[in-house]
Amino acid sequence: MTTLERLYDRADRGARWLAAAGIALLMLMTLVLMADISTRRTLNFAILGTIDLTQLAVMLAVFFALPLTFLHEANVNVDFFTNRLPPRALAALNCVVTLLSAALLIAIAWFSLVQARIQFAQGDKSMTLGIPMLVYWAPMLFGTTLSILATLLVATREAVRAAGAKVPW
Amino acid sequence: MSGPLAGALGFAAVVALIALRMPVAIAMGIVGTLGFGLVNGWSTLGFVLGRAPFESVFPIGLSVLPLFILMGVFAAHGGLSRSLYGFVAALIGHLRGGLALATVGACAIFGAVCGSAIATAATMGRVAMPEMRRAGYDDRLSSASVAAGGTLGVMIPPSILFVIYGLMTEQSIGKLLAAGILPGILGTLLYMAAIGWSTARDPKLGPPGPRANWTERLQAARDVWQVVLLFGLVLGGMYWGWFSPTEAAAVGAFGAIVLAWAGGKLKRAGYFTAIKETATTVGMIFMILIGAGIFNYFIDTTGLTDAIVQWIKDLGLPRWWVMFLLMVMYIILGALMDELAMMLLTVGPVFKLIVALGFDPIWFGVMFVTVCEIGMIVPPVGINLFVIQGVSGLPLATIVRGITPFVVADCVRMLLIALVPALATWLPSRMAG
Repeated sequence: MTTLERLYDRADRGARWLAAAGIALLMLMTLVLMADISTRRTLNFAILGTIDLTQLAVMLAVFFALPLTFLHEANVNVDFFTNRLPPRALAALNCVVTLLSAALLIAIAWFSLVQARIQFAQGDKSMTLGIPMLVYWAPMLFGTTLSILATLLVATREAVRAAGAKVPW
Repeated sequence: MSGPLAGALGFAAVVALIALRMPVAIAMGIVGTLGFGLVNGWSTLGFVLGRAPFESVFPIGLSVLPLFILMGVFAAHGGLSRSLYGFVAALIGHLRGGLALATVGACAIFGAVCGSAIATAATMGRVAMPEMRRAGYDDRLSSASVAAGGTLGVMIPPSILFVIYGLMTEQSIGKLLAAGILPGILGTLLYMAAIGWSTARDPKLGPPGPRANWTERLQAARDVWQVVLLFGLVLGGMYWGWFSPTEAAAVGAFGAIVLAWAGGKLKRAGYFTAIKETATTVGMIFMILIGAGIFNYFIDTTGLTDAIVQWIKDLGLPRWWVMFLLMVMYIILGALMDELAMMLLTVGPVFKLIVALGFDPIWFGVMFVTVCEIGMIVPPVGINLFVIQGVSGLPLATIVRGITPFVVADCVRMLLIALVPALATWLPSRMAG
C-alpha cells in the first residue's frame, strides 16, 4: 500500500464516521420532534427551542456529510460530453476540476470565518434558546475545511492517474 | 457590459463548465463568485461568499430536506419496496404486461414514502427488473417502465423538488405536496395506459404471468399496510394541520427507521450503508443549494430576471403561448441538465414571469415538476436512464428505445393539467390552514 492509498483509506474512514455522527444527530432530532408533537397534542405542552435545535442538527448533518461527499465524488456532474476522452486526459480534466472545487471551498471557508467572527463579536444568539451563533457556524467551518482536504486528496489521485501511474482505488 | 448581458453570459458559462464535467454546484459557485466580483467589484464579494453558504443551509424550512431523504433511504433499505412490488404483482401480474404495470404501481406507492426519483428508480429497478426478466419480458419494456415509474417519486409527496420550489418561491410546502397527489395518480394511470398500448401492439413485450389466488393476495397485502399508514400519517398530518412540514418529515423519517428495524431486514452493515447513502445525498443536494445561493446573488444584481420578464411582456404574446414556450424550453433543458440545477438556475426569473401573467404558482409548480419528470427520462442526460443502466447492465440504447410511450404519456398529463388546472389546485385549496 502506497502512502497516498494509506492516506485515502484513513480519510475515508474518518469521513464516514463524521458523516455518520451528523446523520445520527439528525435521527436524534427526529426523536425530539416526535416528543414535541406528542406532548403538544396530549399535554398541551411544547418543548422549548425545537426550531433552534433542528437548525443546529441540520447544520451538523449537512456540513459533517460534505467531506464524504467530496471524497466519494458524489456531487452531481454530467459526463455525457467527456466520457469518450482517453483515460489520462479524463484524469487530467478531473484534476483541474477538483482543484477548482478546492479553490472555491477555500474561499468559502475563509470568508465564512470572517462572517463568523463578526457575528461572534456582535454577540448574536439563536431566537429561543440563546445559543451563540458561533455554534451554528462551527460545523460549517469544520466541514468546509475537511472538504478542502478531501478535494486535494482526490486531485492528487487524479494527477497521479494523469501522469500514467496505476491507482487501485 | 450591461448587467442583464453579464447575467446571460453567466448562465452560458455555467452550462459550459457543467459540460466539461464540473460538478453542477461548483460550476454555479465559481461563475457566481467571478461574476459577482466583475459586476459589483471585489470588495463586497467576501460578504457573499461568507453569507450565501450559511444562508443556503440555515433556514428552518430547509430542514425538511434531510429528514425526507432519511425517510426515503431507510424505506428503500428496509425492504418496503419488495413488499410493495409483491403486493401489486399479486393483484395484476397475470395481465398482459402485468409485471410492468405492477412496477409502475409499486413505484407510485413507493414514491409516497420516498421523495427522490433516482432512489425510487434504483430501488424498484433492483426488485422488479430480475422478476420481469425471469417472466420473459422484453428488456425495452421492463427497463423503460422502471425508469419512467421512478419519476413518480418526485411528483407524489413527499417530493424534494416541491420542497425546494416552495422555498424558492415562498409558497406553502404543505399545499405543494398536496398538489402533487392527483397529478401523481394521473401519471401512474397514464404510464399504465402506455404499457397497455405497447403490449397491445406487440404482445411479446410483456407476456401474462400466472394468476395469484386470494390467499396469496391477502398474504402480500399484510406486508404493505405499514407503508400506507406511514404515508397517511405524514401527508394526513400536514393536510389536517396536525403538524408542520418539518415535523411531518421527522415523523416520516422516524417511522421509516422503525419499520426498517421492525421488519428485521436491515442488518448492522445495512444501517451503515443507509446512513452513508443519506449523508452523501444530503451533502450533494445541499452543495447544489450552496452553489445556487452564490450564483443567485450574482444573477440578482445583474437585473437579468427583470429584463427577461419585461422582454417577454413586450413581445405581447398570449399568456398560454408563453407557457407553451416555457414548457418546450424546460423539456430541452431537462434533457441536457440535472433537474434540481435546472430549477435553481431558472425558477427565479420564470416565477416572476408566470405570476405577472396571472398563472397560479401552485399549478405552475406541478407543471414544472411534470416537465422535470420528462427531463429525467429523455436522453442524453435523463438521469433515470443512467440509473436503470447501472442497475440492469443493459445498453442505454435499449432503455431509450422503450421510453417513447412514457414520454408521450407525460406530455398528455401536462396537457390535461393545463386544461383542467383543478387537478393540481383542488386538493391544496381544501387544506386546513
